[in-house]
Amino acid sequence: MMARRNYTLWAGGILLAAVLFPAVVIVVFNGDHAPGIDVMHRYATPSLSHPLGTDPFGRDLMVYVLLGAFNSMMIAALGVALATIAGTALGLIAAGHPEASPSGSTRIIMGIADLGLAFPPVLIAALLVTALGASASGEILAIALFGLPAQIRITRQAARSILIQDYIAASRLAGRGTLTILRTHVLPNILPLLTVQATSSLALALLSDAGLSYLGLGAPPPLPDLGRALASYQIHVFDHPMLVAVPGLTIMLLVLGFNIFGDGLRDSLDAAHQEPNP
Amino acid sequence: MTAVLHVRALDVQSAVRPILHPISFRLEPGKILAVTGESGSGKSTLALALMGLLPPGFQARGEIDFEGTDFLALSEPEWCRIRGRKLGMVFQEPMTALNPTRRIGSQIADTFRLHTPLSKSEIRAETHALMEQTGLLDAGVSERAYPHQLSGGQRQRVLLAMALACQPSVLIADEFTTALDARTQSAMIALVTRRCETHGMAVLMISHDLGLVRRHADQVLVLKDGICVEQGPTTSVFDAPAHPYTQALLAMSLHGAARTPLTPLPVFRATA
Amino acid sequence: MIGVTILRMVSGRVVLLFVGSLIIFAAMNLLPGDPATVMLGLDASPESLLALHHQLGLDTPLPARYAHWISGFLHGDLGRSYIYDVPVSSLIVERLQSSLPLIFLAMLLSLGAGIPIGVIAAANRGKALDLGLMGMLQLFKSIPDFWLAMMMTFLFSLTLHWLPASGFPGWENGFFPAIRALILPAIALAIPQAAITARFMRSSLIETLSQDFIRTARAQGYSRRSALWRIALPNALIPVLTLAGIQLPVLVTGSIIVESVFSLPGCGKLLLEAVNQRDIPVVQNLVMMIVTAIMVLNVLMAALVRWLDPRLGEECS
Repeated sequence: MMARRNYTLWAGGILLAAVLFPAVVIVVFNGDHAPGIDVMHRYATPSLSHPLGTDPFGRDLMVYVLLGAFNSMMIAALGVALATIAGTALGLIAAGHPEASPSGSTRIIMGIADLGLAFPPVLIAALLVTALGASASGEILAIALFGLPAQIRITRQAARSILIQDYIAASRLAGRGTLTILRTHVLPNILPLLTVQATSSLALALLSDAGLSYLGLGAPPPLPDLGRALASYQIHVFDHPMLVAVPGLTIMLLVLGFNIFGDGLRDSLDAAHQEPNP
Repeated sequence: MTAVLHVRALDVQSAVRPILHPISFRLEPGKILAVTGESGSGKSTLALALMGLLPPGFQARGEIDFEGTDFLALSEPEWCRIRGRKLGMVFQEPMTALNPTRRIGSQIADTFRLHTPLSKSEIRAETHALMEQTGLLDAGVSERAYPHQLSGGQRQRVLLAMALACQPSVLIADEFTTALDARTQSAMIALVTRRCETHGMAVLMISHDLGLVRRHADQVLVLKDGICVEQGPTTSVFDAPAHPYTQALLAMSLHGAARTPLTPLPVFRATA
Repeated sequence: MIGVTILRMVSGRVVLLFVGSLIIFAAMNLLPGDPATVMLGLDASPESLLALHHQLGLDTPLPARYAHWISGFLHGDLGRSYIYDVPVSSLIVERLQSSLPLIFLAMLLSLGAGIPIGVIAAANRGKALDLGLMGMLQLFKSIPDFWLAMMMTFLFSLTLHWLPASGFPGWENGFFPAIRALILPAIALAIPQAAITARFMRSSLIETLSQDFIRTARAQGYSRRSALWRIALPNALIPVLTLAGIQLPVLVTGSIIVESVFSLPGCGKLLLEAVNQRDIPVVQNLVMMIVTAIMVLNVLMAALVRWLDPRLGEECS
């Protein structure tokens, strides 16, 4: 599987690195606060000192956008991490004993998953912002809650396909407890699938983050943010198209990177599955 | 007797290797030719080559002479007029060979729709008659049933009805009784042999069940790794296998000459 | 038999809606923050706060408030907006005039473009056309819809002057001006979804084409082309319908954002204004309404899928 050249995986990885590596470099050397406001150099055209020019506040556009990408990435990653951990745990519980009829806890968990499908992140964020005001943690929660139902379903389905195998029955007969079986047999087997799922969730989470912060339902200033930048630069779409093009393209490259990377992961996973077992 | 299907030096290549080495045989009206051999010997490839349904990347060469036309020279539209009308095929897997979202009556009627100018009501009548002949009506199966509501044997009857609808001169049956229990199996074979007698239909029966082959086939062709190792009348092949592979194959089963024939047990008909 | 499954599903959804309403109510009423303070400002006198509390019904116990709200919601009485002081229902009905057509149009475009593109890609599987289409779809799938909206305004409105850049003239000024105002937002909203639909359609069709019953149809005399269109496509479309049901909440989210880009006076704009001004009756009822609509449409879609796929109709969920 590893011997096979997986160009998709590489292409996705390169796209992600192209955006995230410089972002991390800037964060490491300058910290994650927004670059200083410099009213003398507003709307500067690209130059050596400002490779992409400056924004309406005289901030270096490239630095601002990369920092925004870093923040979006952090929020998306935390949201997806939360959804993955909670969703995997709930999905494993809901998998239960596939032979038995669904228990109370399974019904409740699947109910949560069904309910979650009807609450798009913008509604969750709207509720949270109305009640508590805008915050990064609220946005992370909204993204996590949105990702939860899919995570529960996928984990449950994958776990059930393992749990119906004969060797699981053998383990049970040998006296292994459910927890041991989940830890030693189920989790390692579904881990690759969960990784693929997390990758495509990251792409969705980045899109959600951009949308929420564009609407003002995301993390509040002063953290640099691509969606918020787009909202404030929108009026300049005609006179300074660069201001709108660059943040949007950056989001797109990140999302594209994760989508392609996820496809590559899935391909190599499928290839690994197709190879005969030794 | 003139052959309805005359295969001369047919071989099949995939992109990387030969699947079927040159093979020649004749199919005569009303007769059953069995193709046997272990799995992977190229039996199904032969069937698909005869139907012109080889998967992409596979190439057939040689000559398949069917009532004067060479199959390998046919264009796709010409093929579509022959498949289902002159050539019927029944497949191995009755569970998946039917479209799960369409009623079986409509799927059987498709063969008429594709090949005959019959009106809707005539097609309905023909479909009904065909379901009668194949024993589906007796089993209480309605035209409006969906495949998942049927048993494996009933689905295989539906497939047979689809293949027999236009009274083809050749039926290709690829392991079509393998998934069935013994009783259903013999009922299905009976349906096919009756057609051979009444309509002079020729059958190419692919089966690894040597008992079945010995009971019903007139001619046998033994394949191993895509090579025809032995062919001839069933009795002579079974009584005096010439090739070591055939001998081994027969020795492993209970049906060859290598063992003394068992006394057949009396059959009790279940009255259900 | 389909009826029983659907009935069970509907009753399940009613329970879920009840839970959903509790969550929405709790978020709006239990979390810290006093709407009266927000409305009157921090320096308001305690007397006027108390009076406003009474006027808003905030001095009654929570269960009573919940019961009052939900029975009102079920009877179409959604209370009054704190900010506009008009019935919430009239606000929502007014805003639906642009939101509903926008979502409907976007769904139509997404399916109308995504399905044929997916079929073309599947029919040419592995060829240059397929690879090109797949690459393009991967790109479109990754575009943030609201940014696409901005770029399209730049191109089609500000540069080419083909379509209006923002605003909505309303239906009373004629059908075409209204549609013209919605077409660009709908396209922006539909493109990423169409890309997802097309990719899904492609893999569903490829999967269906590999099934045994396609070979049966070919053996029956169907040509490659007619087997694809008449046998494989209807079957392959069923999962695409399920996907469309899942895409609906995504379109709702997208419509809220895209309305904001184009300054369309829709439900999204109403929701955002209400959130910013803490207009609780509007947020509470609008969210509840959207959630209900999504659930109802999901059930309808599931019923349609079950009706189309006889295997699902009989299996117990």
